[in-house]
Amino acid sequence: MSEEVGSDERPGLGGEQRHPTKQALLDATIADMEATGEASIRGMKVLKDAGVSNGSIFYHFGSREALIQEAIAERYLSAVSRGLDAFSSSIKEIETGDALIEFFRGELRRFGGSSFHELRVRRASALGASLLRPGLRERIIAGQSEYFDRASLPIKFLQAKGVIDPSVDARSFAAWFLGLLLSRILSDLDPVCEPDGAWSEFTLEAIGANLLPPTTEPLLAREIA
Amino acid sequence: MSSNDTENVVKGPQALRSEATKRALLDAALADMEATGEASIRITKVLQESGITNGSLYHHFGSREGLVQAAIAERFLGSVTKGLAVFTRRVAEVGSTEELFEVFREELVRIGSPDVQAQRVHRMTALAAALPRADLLERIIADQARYFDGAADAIGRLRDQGVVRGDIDVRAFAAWFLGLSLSRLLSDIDPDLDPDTEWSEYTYKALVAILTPEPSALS
Repeated sequence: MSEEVGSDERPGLGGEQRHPTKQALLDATIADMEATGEASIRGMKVLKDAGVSNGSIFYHFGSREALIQEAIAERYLSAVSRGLDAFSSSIKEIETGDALIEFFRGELRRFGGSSFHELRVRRASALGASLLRPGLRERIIAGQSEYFDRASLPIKFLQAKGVIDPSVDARSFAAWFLGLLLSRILSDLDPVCEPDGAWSEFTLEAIGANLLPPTTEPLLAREIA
Repeated sequence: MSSNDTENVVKGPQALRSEATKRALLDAALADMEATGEASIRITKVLQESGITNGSLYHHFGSREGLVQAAIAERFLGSVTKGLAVFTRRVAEVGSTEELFEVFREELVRIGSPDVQAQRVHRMTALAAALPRADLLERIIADQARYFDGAADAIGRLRDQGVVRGDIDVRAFAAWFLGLSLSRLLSDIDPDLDPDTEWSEYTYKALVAILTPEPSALS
């Protein structure tokens, strides 16, 4: 299932067109980061992999630190964006509460795939690396905020149709849910947990309890199943 | 006294001194990490702050990397285990489903406190630093598994008493909930969200849906 998220197309964040050298430097830095961690990014290796000169780092980014920051931001935001794009395609066609739960059941199954685990690793790595760097942190927060807005659109759409409880605040729920999806990484890593089973069931019940309108609320997600 | 049961022996003055040295090094590394991020831990600064010699660092941690790894592992779970101990004690005293949900309500308030917010930043930073390092990752996964086990034991006793749903996989639930708690970080850092009300409410509703015993068990 890697073709769903694993393509190397540029995510086109904010529609920015990058100079090919700049993009090559970023790609090489991200690859090095993924292989060995940020602490050990080797300037020489990045230059060699990108096939560019030392001067280009300074020309395009100003400093090694700025290149690293850009790479971290790109890593985080493109991972969130791909996860979200994979998500919201058919959600608007849902007509009933049962169909909503079934939709999420299918989505959560896909989210258990290894390519999505890789996205979680990227998100967690980049988020953790950004928290102690004020400039980068602000950037991640701003980018993430846009995704919360985007993810709240289908919720609002289904609220208007009466499928989702209209009293739910779409944006804060989107933030809660996108956080929950990221946190699956802890169960993924654990040697005992089988997140495809229980983790997904708990998540479905959480969705049912929060999103279904009050009339259907007594019907817990596990009873629909 | 054999050296392989050091866990249970009273430590002599030398062992205590050694422990103190190790602690001082770890604290200085953590402080430096806090200020500047892991990549830039400066060994000279760590030694200066802890007042400890270079030889001592290598004796206790083997290498700079050894010290960095120990500090990261401690950051990931160190502070969390204290909170968990309090929570499991409270859970152990619970006699009914309503009381359990009350304990969770209080736990959700505690999770929102500035201390615990800072813990989440530490945990996420440590997780990020551990992900690309196989042995460190293995170490924090093992620590985390023990922590899931502890939380699962507490919920497991309640399941056996019929306070929570009888068919629940308690360890998977512990992992789900402890992961969700960490993910509050995303809402914490967003300037337009109010996680004390919204995030906590979604989480509370989820807990009630997941843990409430089957209707037949209520009668």
